Amino acid sequence: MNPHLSTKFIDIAGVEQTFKTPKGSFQALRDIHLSVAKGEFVALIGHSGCGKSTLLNLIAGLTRPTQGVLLCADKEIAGPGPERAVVFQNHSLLPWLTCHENVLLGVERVFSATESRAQLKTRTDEALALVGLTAAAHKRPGEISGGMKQRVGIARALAMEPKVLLMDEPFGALDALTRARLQDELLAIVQRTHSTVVMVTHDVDEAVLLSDRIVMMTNGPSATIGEILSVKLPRPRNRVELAEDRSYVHYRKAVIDFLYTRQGHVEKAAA
Amino acid sequence: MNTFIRALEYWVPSSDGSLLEFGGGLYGAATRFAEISRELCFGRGEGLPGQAWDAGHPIVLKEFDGSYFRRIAAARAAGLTCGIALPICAGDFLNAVVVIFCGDDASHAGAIELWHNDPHASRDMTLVDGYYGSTGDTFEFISRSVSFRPGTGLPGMAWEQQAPVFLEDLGRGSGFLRADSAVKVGINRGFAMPCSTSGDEHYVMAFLSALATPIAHRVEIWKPDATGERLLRSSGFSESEGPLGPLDVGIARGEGPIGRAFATGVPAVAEAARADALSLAAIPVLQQGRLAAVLALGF
Repeated sequence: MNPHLSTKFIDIAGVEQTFKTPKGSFQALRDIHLSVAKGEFVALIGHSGCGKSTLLNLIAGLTRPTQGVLLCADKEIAGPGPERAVVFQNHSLLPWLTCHENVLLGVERVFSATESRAQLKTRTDEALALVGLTAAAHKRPGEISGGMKQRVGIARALAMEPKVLLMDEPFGALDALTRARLQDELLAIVQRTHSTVVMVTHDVDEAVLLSDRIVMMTNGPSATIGEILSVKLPRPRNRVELAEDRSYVHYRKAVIDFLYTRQGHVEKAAA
Repeated sequence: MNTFIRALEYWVPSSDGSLLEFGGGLYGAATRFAEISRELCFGRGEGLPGQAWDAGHPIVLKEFDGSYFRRIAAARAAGLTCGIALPICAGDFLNAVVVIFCGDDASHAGAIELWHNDPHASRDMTLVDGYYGSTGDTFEFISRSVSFRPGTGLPGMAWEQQAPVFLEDLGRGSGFLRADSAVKVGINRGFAMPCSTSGDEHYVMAFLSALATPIAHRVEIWKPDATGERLLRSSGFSESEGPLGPLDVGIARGEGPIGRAFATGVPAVAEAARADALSLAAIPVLQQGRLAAVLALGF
């Protein structure tokens, strides 16, 4: 477990999310109870349609629950806020701005009232340096690779010094090698910043490599948390060394077991 | 008794409530251990039954040697190396303490797990302790890393249903979420039951066993009917007959060991009358002082 973890920081109590559709009500989530400690890295994993992203959106304040309450640092989450930065699978960069300008946009939103122009620029430069993009700062999104775009998105999120970093399959659209490199970078960044992270992922290895806990969700509709796996691998973590680590293999197997068993249920129900 | 459970006994409070006295037991080949046990009684905190009484919740004692267990030499001679003590409480009142014994030899592969949830502290059910015998450390490692929510996994199912759950095949699709690890170490049968305690915390005891050494020869779950006057078999499994479905024929209060457990809320046992018959243990499952089910184990 991450040694910097302290008491619960995000607290989700009795959350239910029901959407109104033309065909009637659709209950996406039910009976969600989850606490995330400060500095903890939590992965949400489950099959498509299990409500992972719905839960992340609730933490981000992008949607409000139909029942229950979500707290961040003892304050109710009533909407989006700079203390909860979101990194999406599609990087959501403005194509007419440079990488520097894209990051600066977020920095200005949070710090322009309290910091000078020079300080804002320094923050932006530091964030880009953190993700290794100093040399590409002047380029526009259309001039850089998918992996670099995602790094800009992460830099923009980190530059706002959020209390919580929310990531919705941030590396899902990238090729395997780029994904691995960004995962390693994220590991190093989180190690340095002690960020609290909640990440949605489909990638079992990514979940085990990065997380302190893996929250496994049951199939939707009316999805809920089924099982939670505590990943007690020491940090810093090295993917090459972990590949043959017995504990890593056990954790990985446990997550696959969960997903495979669940998938079996889906197939059985569909048959 | 070629089963994972090697012996079973229960202890009941004395008339003045100061001691636990022998109530009954099924000991199989452990005849000397049985003789010694019948002469014993336990004060609160004494021995394994007394410890469970004092704690007000189940206790797993993985190793008798060097422990507070009072019958170490006799247990060792009978090949009994570990046990789980299960208090049966009706609210604050202790009805009985059941002690289940297992061995540690390679021919009795299996595991006992005790799972716990404190509703004031967490929504998760986590492992308190477990005995894993010769199942290897892979399964134990995963069990110690996971936590369950109500309805998920074997402990979560028993927790949610507040009734015993038997899974005859822990392979894929059974809802047993450590299936691959279990199958790898030879475990294929799973059984879990919620435990009544003196507090508001939740405990679930799970037994996992291999094909060659089933938990018991026969497992049946009996539940009260709508009137609460009779018990009906809801499900079960026999190692010789396979799955046992619901039975319409009920058992009245006081009728046989199952009916006695139903009537009194105290376990009951019956030794096999013939060589080809099974001995039977009936264990009441109480929830908030009311009988939720009677678990019948045939040995």
